[in-house]
Amino acid sequence: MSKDLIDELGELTYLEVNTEKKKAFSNNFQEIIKHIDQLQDLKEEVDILPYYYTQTLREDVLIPTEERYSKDTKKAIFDEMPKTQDGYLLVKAILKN
Amino acid sequence: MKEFEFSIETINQMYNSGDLKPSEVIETVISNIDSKDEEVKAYLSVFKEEMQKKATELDAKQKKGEKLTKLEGIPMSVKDAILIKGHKATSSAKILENYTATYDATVINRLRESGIIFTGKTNLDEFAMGSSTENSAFQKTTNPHDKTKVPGGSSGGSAASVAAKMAVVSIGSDTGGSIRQPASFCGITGLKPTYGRVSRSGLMAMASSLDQVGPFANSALDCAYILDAMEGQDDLDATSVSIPASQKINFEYIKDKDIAGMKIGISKEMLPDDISPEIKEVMDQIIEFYKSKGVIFEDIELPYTKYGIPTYYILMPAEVSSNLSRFDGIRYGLSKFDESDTLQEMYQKSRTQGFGEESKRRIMLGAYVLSSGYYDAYYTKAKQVQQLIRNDFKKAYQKVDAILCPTSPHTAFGLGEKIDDPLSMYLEDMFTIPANIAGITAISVPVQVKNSLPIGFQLMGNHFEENIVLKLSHSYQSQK
Repeated sequence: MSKDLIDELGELTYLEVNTEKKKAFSNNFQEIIKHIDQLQDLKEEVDILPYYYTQTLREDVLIPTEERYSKDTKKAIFDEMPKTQDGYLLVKAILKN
Repeated sequence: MKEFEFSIETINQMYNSGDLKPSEVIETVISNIDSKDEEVKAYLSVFKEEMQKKATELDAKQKKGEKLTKLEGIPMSVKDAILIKGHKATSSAKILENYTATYDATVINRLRESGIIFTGKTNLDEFAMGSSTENSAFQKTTNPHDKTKVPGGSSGGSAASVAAKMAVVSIGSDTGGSIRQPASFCGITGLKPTYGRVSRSGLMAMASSLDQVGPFANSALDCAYILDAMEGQDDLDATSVSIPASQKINFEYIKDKDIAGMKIGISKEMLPDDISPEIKEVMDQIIEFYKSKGVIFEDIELPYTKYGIPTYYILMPAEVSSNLSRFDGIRYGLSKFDESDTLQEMYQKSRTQGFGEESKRRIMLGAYVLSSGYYDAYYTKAKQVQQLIRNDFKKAYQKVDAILCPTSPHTAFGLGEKIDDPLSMYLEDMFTIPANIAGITAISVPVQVKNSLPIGFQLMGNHFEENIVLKLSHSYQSQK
């Protein structure tokens, strides 16, 4: 397991591993991969069946946001947002000007 | 302060005979928290005023001569991965350090309706990832039986709170053993219900196809009371199931101590010859106890359960990497908005500073096993082995009512002993993971051993056969 792969996975998952810890992280990762690689020795093929029971899904129902959440709940949700502006969630620009 | 046994039945009887008041129970719990939690560190937050207010209301009800129902006035702690509206819900993660829940989990609604008094939120391994509660971003919980040892994990705070009498009961979540292993280490009873029996709405998702909420208590009977109050179908969780009448909690059946003729299976995979001598001795005693009650033991084979850990460490991180992608610093939680120029930079800074090392490891492992070129070799393969493990159990339950094995390969290990060796930590769950992979129920029952830390044995039952494992556990606990 190379440190490059750790960097690549970090890029995919938006995570950075501290440079000092990268070696230990990489070694641990390698041990774990070696352990899960045991499954490659199993040659049995089996159909994956649905779980024990059959789910009964309800019909989709459209509920307008105003009816779904009370004013208090909406306020609580907004209070948790790191940045808002004019009643909207604020995010950074995806494209640079 | 009045003495009483920390049991739902006893407390309820004393309430209804007028020998004990809800406020007296709450004051005892608060006093225990004040005197013990500085060292145990089970709680992240304590709801002192709420507890006292609710207890006063119940005192008034009792004074009017009204009977209190089974769970009214019973103090319960709650793992901090379960949402209680208006209270902090951190999952012991820095990224959620200041997050306040905006709604109640379904289990919280149901337990509140039953009259439970919530005592506070308990510590866990960050996002329930760990087997020692050392991965918490905030504090390390210690084992109430020996403060140099871990309480187990991930629901270590919940288990420790019950073991140290800082709550009568607790609820946690079990994805690979996170209820049963800490119950075993702390000397209490912990039940993982069948997948689908209890709603997951309001439980922070770790691995959604494996997560299940369940109770901790001082007895199997108390676990039955809690499960009875919180189980059942929920419109907010499409994987929750309407339980057939024949499989609902049946107290008459559980309390009937006649277990003669019941069949328990033992397999060499789940009770290997090379297990530690102290665990082996305890397991032999348990087998002798059940044999003396007329239980029949059968040898069974579970050949694929030995692949439980590698299977779990593919399926679980795959789901973790997806579930934890929601933490991006935009809608809630830690945000590095002001320190970033671009959206990508904001994602990376918020997540890198908000997640601990174990969460990062599992998210990245999940991304690895799901990536193009590896998906079939890892994820598809693991799903196939999961099916083989399920087939093993299906075949076994055609012969037996329950399967007996240890909960953990040994007693509680030392604080810091395994924290730098993740694979060794993962192997802790070798006996608990198969039940999650198969979706079946399993319970850890404590055994008191002289001059030893607590040891738990595990009974695994088929899907929705909680009554069977609770009956067998209750029978054992009634004989002591």
